[in-house]
Amino acid sequence: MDESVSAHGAEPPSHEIFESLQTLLANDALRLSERNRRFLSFVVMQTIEGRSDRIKAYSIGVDVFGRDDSFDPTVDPIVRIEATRLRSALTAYYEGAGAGDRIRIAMPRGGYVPSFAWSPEFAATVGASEAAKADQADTAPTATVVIHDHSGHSDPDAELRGELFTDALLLLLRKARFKTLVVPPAERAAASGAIQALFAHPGETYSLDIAVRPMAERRRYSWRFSDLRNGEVLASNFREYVARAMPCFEQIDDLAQDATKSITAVLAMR
Amino acid sequence: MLFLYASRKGERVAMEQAQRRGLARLMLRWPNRRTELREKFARDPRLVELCEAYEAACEAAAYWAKSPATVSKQRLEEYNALASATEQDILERIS
Repeated sequence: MDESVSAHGAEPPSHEIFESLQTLLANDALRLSERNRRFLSFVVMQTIEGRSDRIKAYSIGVDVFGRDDSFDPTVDPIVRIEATRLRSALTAYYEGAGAGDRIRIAMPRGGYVPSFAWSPEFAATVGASEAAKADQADTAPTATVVIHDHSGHSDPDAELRGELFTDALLLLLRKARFKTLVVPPAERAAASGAIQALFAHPGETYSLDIAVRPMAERRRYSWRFSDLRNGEVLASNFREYVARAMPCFEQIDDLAQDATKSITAVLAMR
Repeated sequence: MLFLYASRKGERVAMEQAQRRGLARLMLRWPNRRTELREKFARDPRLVELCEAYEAACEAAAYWAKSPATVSKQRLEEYNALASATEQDILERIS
């Protein structure tokens, strides 16, 4: 990737922009259609790969909106309209669910080339010069954890327990300041694609594979935390509980707590 | 230079007119939300832009409705859907 995006001192480095884009695209709180998620991805990737000069209404119309080479933006203003909707969605996201995101991606009016900035809170905390160094080890970014639930969908009981385990982990990992993503069903193509892209360029991203598996009257809850860059398993554990016809939230919360503590500890040592 | 200035001024005027036309169209569409629309239009730049986008989608739909091109039906459906989606964005913005 072209690191020149970071040329203006306080701007975020490209790899952090890429990671922020993937997190953003996978977030349901961003009210964007699949097509506009592709639009956002296209302009950000062109920019961080040093091809922002290619970002024109025509190229977006052809590459993102499937127009042919007779595309005329003056009678077919799809790009201009969708860009406005995209700007509005980004504004709403950063006003709400994304208020705590460290990097802000915007598309200033008058063009389609995106801009990137540290959030005001992050810039104020770290300071502009420190923010520029945030890609160095002493100001390492918060790690991203991708949770993948492998509980069998053929067993509704195990599936439900897997969902409860995921919910408990999400809550605790977010409290521990990790960015969290959950591998979505295949039909959510944009989010799936964003997570697949993270797998290809993981950066500071880790996978947390979990499963609840039935064995006779027992249920085995397992989790495995791995470094996506090399597949190294950094921590793992499992517990078995007898399945009872009563709520088991405390057991699940306890195991999620155990996993979160282990993950936090193992990353602190790296 | 003078030509460029006049051209940019002309673009700005056209843009502001499209924004106001979009607002007027929405006030006709939702008479009971006129006050909210007018008040938020005055202080929310994103709403102003969405009004302009809404107007653009409606105008494009009108253009393709009359066009003899082979893709006109497809484009008409697309812009009608886009106008509806932009209405939803606007409702979200003013609520």
